[in-house]
Amino acid sequence: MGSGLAILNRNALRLELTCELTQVRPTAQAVRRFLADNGCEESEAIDCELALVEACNNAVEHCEESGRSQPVFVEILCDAQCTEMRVTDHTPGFDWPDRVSLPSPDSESGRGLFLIQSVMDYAGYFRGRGENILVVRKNKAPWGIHPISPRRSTP
Amino acid sequence: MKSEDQGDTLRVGAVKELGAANANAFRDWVRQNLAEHHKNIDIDLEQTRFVDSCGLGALVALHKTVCARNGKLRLLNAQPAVRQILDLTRLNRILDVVQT
Repeated sequence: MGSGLAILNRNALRLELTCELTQVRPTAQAVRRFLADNGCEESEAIDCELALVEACNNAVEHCEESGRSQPVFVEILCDAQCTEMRVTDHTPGFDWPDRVSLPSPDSESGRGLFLIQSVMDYAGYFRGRGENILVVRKNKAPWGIHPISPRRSTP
Repeated sequence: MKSEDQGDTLRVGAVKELGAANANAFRDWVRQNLAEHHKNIDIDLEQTRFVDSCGLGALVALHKTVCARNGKLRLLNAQPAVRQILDLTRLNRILDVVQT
């Protein structure tokens, strides 16, 4: 059991990982290398890596027994304007909230969706029969403008 | 990972990553190394390149463990990407994030 990787072309990558948490980090690291090879700024690559890990963790952790034999699919599209990542899961799915709130500070879980929404410019979750797709996008900084810390502040 | 007894503080270091695959094991390992005389935990994050929401959950769990002993959890030398996650989730308000 392991992961499969296919570079579709210079700007597109497709991976599939078995439904295990240990597969998530190697997948995210492969994506990070791919983004670096595509000239992605480090801060953008860090944000994409975090969002992808959270998305894949959810895809694995919320998978029911019937879906465990099916891989999680990850697709990355990288162009001059943005990086788009799609994660296909085989969980029962859920309704993606418009705005995710943080849990109470002493909660030991429940920050994953908040992190995805915080570090990405777009997140949409599309529920289907037998599979669901999370689409996230990170816009690229305009040429020549690369803020050192392009982070959203929290109130 | 390694741990060191520093009086009333257990210092933990050499943590490469804190993610879903190892967060619970990390939390349990630190608790197992916590002796009765340890009030505080210092976690040196200098070598920690990645933390996700499950890793944050482990840190919150350890924070609660030392609070029950009237102690403190300190996070030392967090890398910028890790500090960013602590800031975003506002855990920097309840955890001591310290550069040494």
